[in-house]
Amino acid sequence: MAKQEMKRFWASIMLTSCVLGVNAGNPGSSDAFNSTRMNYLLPEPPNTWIDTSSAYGFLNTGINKTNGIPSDKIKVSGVSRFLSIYRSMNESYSDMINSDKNFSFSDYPQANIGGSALGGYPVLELNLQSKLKDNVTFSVGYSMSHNFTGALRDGKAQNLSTIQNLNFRGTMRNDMVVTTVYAGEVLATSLSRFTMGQPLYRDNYFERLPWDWYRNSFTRYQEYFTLSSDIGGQFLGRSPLQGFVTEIQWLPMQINFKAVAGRTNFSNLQSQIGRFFPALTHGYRLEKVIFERYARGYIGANFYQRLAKTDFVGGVSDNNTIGSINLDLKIKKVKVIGEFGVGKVSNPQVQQYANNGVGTGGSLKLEFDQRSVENPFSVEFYQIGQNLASVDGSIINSNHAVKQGGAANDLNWDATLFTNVSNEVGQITNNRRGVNLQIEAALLDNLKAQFGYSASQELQANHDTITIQHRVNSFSRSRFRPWFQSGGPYGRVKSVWFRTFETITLGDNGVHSARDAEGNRDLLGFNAVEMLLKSKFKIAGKELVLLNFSSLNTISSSFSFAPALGNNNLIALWYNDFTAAYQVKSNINLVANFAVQGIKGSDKVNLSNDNGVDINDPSLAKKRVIDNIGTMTAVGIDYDFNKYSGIHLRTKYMTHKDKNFVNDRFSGFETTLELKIFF
Amino acid sequence: MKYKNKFLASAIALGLGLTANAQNNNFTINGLGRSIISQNDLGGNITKDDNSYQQSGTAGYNLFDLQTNLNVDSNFQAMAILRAKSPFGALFGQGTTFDFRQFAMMGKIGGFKYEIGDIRVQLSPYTVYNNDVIPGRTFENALFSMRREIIEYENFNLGNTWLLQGLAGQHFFKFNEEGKGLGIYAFTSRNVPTNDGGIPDRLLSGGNVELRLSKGLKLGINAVSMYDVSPFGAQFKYLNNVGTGYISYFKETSSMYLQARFEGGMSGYKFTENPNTPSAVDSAYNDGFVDVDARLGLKNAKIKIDANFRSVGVLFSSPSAQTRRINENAQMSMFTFLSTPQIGLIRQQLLFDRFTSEDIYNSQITPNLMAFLPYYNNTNPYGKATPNRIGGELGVSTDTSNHVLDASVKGSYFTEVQGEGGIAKRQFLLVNGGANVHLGKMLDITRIFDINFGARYENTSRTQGALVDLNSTLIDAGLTFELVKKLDFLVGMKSFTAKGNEFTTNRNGFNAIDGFDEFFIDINEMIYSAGIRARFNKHQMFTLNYNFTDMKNNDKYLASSSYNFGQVFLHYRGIF
Amino acid sequence: MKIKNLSFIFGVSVTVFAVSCTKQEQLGPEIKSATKDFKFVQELTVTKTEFKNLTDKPDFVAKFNEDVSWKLRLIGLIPEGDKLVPSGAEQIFTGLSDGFDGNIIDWDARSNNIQFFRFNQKVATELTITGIREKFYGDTFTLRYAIPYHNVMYNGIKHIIVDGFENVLTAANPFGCLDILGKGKSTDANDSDIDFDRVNVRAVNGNFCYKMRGKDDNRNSWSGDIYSEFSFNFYRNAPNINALLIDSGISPTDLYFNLFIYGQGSNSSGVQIKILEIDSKKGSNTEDIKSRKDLFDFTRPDNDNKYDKTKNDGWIYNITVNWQGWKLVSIPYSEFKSAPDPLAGGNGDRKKESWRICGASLSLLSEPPGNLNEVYLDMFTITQNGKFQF
Repeated sequence: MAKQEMKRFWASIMLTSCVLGVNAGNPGSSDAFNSTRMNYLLPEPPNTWIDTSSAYGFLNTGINKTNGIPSDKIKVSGVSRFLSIYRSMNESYSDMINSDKNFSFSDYPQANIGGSALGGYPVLELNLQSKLKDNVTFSVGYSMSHNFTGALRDGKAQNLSTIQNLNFRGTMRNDMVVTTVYAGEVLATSLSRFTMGQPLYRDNYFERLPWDWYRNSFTRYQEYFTLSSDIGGQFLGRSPLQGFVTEIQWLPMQINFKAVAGRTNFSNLQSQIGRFFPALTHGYRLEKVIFERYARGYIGANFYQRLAKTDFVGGVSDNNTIGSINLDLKIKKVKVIGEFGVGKVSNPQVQQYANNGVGTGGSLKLEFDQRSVENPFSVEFYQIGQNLASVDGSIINSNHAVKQGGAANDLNWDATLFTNVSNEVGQITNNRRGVNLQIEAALLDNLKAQFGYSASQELQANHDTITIQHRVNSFSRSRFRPWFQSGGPYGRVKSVWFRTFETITLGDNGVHSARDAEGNRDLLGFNAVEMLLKSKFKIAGKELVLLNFSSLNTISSSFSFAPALGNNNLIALWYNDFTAAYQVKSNINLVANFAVQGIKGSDKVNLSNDNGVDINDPSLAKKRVIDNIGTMTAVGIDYDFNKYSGIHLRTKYMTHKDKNFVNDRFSGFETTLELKIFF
Repeated sequence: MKYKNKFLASAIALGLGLTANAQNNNFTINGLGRSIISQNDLGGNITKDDNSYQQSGTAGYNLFDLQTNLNVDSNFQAMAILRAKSPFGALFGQGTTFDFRQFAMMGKIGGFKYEIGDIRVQLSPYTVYNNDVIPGRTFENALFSMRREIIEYENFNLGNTWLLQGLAGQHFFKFNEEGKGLGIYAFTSRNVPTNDGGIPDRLLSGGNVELRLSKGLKLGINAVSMYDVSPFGAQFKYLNNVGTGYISYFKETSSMYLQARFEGGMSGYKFTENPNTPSAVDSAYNDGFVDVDARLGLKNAKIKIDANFRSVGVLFSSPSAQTRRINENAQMSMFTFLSTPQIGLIRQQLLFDRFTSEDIYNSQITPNLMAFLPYYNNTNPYGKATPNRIGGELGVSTDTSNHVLDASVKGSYFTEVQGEGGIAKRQFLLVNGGANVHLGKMLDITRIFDINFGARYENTSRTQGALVDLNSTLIDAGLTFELVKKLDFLVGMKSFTAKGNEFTTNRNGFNAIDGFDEFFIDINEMIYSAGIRARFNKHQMFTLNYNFTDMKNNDKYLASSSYNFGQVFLHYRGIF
Repeated sequence: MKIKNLSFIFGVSVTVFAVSCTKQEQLGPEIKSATKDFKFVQELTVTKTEFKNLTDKPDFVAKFNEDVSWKLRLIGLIPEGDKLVPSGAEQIFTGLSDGFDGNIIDWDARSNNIQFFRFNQKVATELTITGIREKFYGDTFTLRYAIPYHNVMYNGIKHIIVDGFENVLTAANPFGCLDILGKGKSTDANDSDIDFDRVNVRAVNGNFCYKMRGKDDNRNSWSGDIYSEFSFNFYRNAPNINALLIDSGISPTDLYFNLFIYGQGSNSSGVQIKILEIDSKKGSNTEDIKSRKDLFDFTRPDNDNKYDKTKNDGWIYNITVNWQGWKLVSIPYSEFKSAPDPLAGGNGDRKKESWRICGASLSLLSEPPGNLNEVYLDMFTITQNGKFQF
């Protein structure tokens, strides 16, 4: 079946491209090149007949010493980032993969950078690009790393790989049609929010990020104040892809077509690589640019599919398909951003959900900027079904049948699953309907406020677990047991790339059960309020930027408009993060940060069995609830010793302590030294 | 390997440091980049209600070969190719591999030229020659030749040369300006390194001496020897010598030209078991060959006529001319099994696999005659140097001066010198021909508009003793049309039919036949391919094509083993 | 098969052949197709329903009305679901005659490929006649005999089975092999999906092989191993010094460790063979073992001596298992490297001495780390003066 689909679908694609070509065609001139034989690395073969006219010679056949790209036509660029993280814990989790005192030279300990996924960034990323022609380029990045193992002969200390770049680009123009093909890896690409792209999270204003691009460290803090922009995740909300991306622009019609084929970082397991595992991710986007008096922006139609099997053998489908239409139009003074889509998950695991794998969803956002209102604000409504799910899209996934690496993966290693997550304002997730509201106000010349509000509700009571995000020490925590999704002393901690979450179970704790006798329960409600206060002024002629971020996230057993801390509340997470950045000199700045987070569970979720309270007495249940406080007290210094290089020191003291879950506690120092050189 | 990587890493790092500043062109760079994705699906009878083995799969890779050229001066030049390759689906450096793919140094000291490292060697078809033994190359569609080129590149094939590891040098003593002179060329290379134990070093050395009496007349000698340099206590010692002499004549007038070439020679094989011990056992044999080749070119008619007669002895042994570049026993990486590995029903190599599967190619010279599948090429499976053949060829083909049409037809008839498994001898009849018609040029339109067709018919028969009657037919057809500037639409088709019975020969460690296996075959393989190709410039292209191969087994005992497979192939190739 | 052995068999014949064939009129053995009036005088029959032992074997008989080239193929069968399928084991006999019988075909239960004929296996018979497309099938019989491989010589090569992964106690294991490694097992507590056990599927010899499966969660490249510091099992079976299995003074290049490994075509699986030598007695007593006598005494059942790997040599060799299906891997002792960790066998006299070999372990590796790997092992043997002989 799938095979037939595959064949038909490719046939159609080839057809489309031809048609496009024909439309774009003109009887212009063309070079009569009709051979694909390669000439540089593999020249024309020598004449097998001994050629009488030629000079005597058997040497140097097949070696091309001419036509090389001269050195000045090669662009060499790169980043050198030497990182050393020293961690010294007083108390730590029992399942931490390293000892309490740990040195590591990569973002994640024990990871062999380049040798394995998400180990971190190389010490030296050396990029080679050709400047020979405009319409074709190649970019190959040699990533060199050092793990400083001290073992000189086991060959494991240093390693060489290509982490970022091994890609090629070709562009050609026929009249009004411009076609560009990108091939290789890593192609950061996106189609639309529902289909391909990645969810955006709020920056931690203190931590450094490997992909931080600022040449001047203080600019980052200035921009936090002026623009309300984040550095964001790696690849800025696009999906890292290995494969092909084709873009066709039809200029007069202002129509753009994009086709994507390959695999993303989430679409296969390491053990499947290079072994003909049946899995291909492909997607398409047809976009019409609108530039009229009444409306400006675009409307796009998107298709995304992970076409795969559950295993090498067996032929069981593991497909995930999404079709959507999205628009981004400025009509008069109002910006309308929306997307509507249908998704279908087909694999054996999806049977746990209703409407046999089909899910629909939509989101609509209205933005009013300064020109229309005094305080710019935006409001968004969304409703997204359980089966409108993708590991590559910006919809945070709560569908257990759609996994990183496909159905063969087990949930302990699926870093893309967030069941009933308590989302940040602005994020959307599936099996959810809700609203996001964001407003910005300039209270004084040098005091700005951003306020965010989010309220949402489950669509179906599918799973009896909920997920919260640890905002404080989130990167440091994720290094305790990287990539593992049920870590920590109580097996609840989810460690993902640079962030930490926790999975909480509803009921079944001897006091309450998640569902009633008929197996029903109310649809959970999720609330979040966020407030960012930003201020910038001068002290002793030097700039000081103050950022204070506060948030309150709650999950309640039923929907409520405001964060519910009353009876219905299941768990509440409050967080305050204060950052001060002071520019001592144009190239030196100090950063200080204090963050505190509290999590308070109710007796309707996990209860402690090891704090000495009688577990058989329901009346004492409230004495066994989740109740922890975490803090981070940190200072740092950035010194940019020239335009391209800087040294960055960060040191923090972390604490985390739960009153009742007595093993859920850690405390200690972590110091990070980063030397970063762009060239 | 690891150690090598580190060396390379520093090498490029330094190299690039150099390029970053250096403004002279003593140091230049070439690159070949390739990205491939293939999506494969197996179907047909054999897959019906049996899911116990893999029937669909996606694969590919990205690679970049960085060639650094160092031109200090004419005395010394060097080139090295460093390969970075990552398998499909591996992001952020997982499974990236680095190879030192090729490395050579070369130069000229006075009249003496030298070359060290990975060197390409080709002498005559009986001495050092890498035969292209896969039929149907000449008149196939670019979609198919694209796939061959990938394999040949990956397998280090270039024309008929062998890529060897060693050194070579040459000098030409010029007698006068008319080209009179004496040329001397010699090379030596190592094929197998010793393990300092029972396995000796195996070297391949050879050369050429050519006396040019006039511009048109040459006398020469080719010699090549493959031999073991035994360490103490070696378990065996191998020696194979080939020596040939040739005369080559060339004459040209305003209306025609004539080329004639005679080559003849001997080979000697010797294998010694437990050398330097009393219990040493020798196995030895010698044999020879003669070859007469002639070409008449008619300039006005723009055609050339080729004739060849040759007789190659039963025991003629010339590894560097007889080794096949394709290994019939190798497994394809895709759909290797048509059952669980436990039952181990292995898929036979299809014609399609033979020009698309990188895993079944061989780049090392082997002392023994490799196995071959008679229905693909039975007349000269080991090229001109195929032992136990006597017969001739006659062919007519268009001259390269003809830009509109490129066509040829050739007939061959050979018999065995001695019968195998009986006194009766096999007869081989081979006819092949075809044409590439450049309609675009014919109709004088600026777009590419090419049509290609070709056919190959081969019959093998033996009418007494162990009867043989094997027919195989290969038909090629295709079209290439430039839809819009630099965007081509291509379709290609191959039809391969084989019917009859034949015996495959089992050879022992000394190339001696020690048994036969009879097989019956009745298959029909159809390969359809269609695609579009974008040419960004002469060396950069992207191709999206779909191949469908239908393997029909008409044998009533094997009817259920018919299958087909579909393959989507995305390919970007850029040379910089 | 090594060229050495090839020539052992063919050497002489070829010399004769090579010289003579330039004279004679044909190449290779005579073959003849059936004429169109070919008939069976007696169809293919197997005289017994069981093959119990070498002295009482079934005969294969067939008679034709003319001389013709024929090929008899014996095919081992195993049950898969409700039907019998080929196990992979096969043996072939050919000839040019008007038939054959027990005097012409003498089969010793050997297979011509990597799959052994198994004890209690059904064997099918298939006859092909040159020139005739059709195949002819004879009776199926049961094999109740298996070729001994423990402590026997074939082609001048001594075979010692370290572990056939069979259960010594049942009649199903007629190999008389030692069943050692399964006894000691240690797996990585921090890894998941661990499955180390003897399984009765897809064995290459006998009914059982050993399954190793595990996901290297803690990314230390190691998921577990089976081991024996086997003075206890290996040497204790020896009644006297002369019966100690591995001879002394075997050159490391002539001593082979052979292991059948079933791979899944993975790009991350590996198996480590570790060979333990005994150089000194247990930790408390530093007195060295100087002679086979010391070793023999040291390993008597009545004393409770233990092997102390912190005082002895361990030699390792890593095999990358990237193939699919079974493969025989034979590694000469000379290829083994010293174990890096002094506490795990890096602390002996660092000399490879065959007679001191007293233990081994097989580990499941993941390279690159972090992957799920599954391999099957069978017939772990030591051979002297050559590789394992089929």
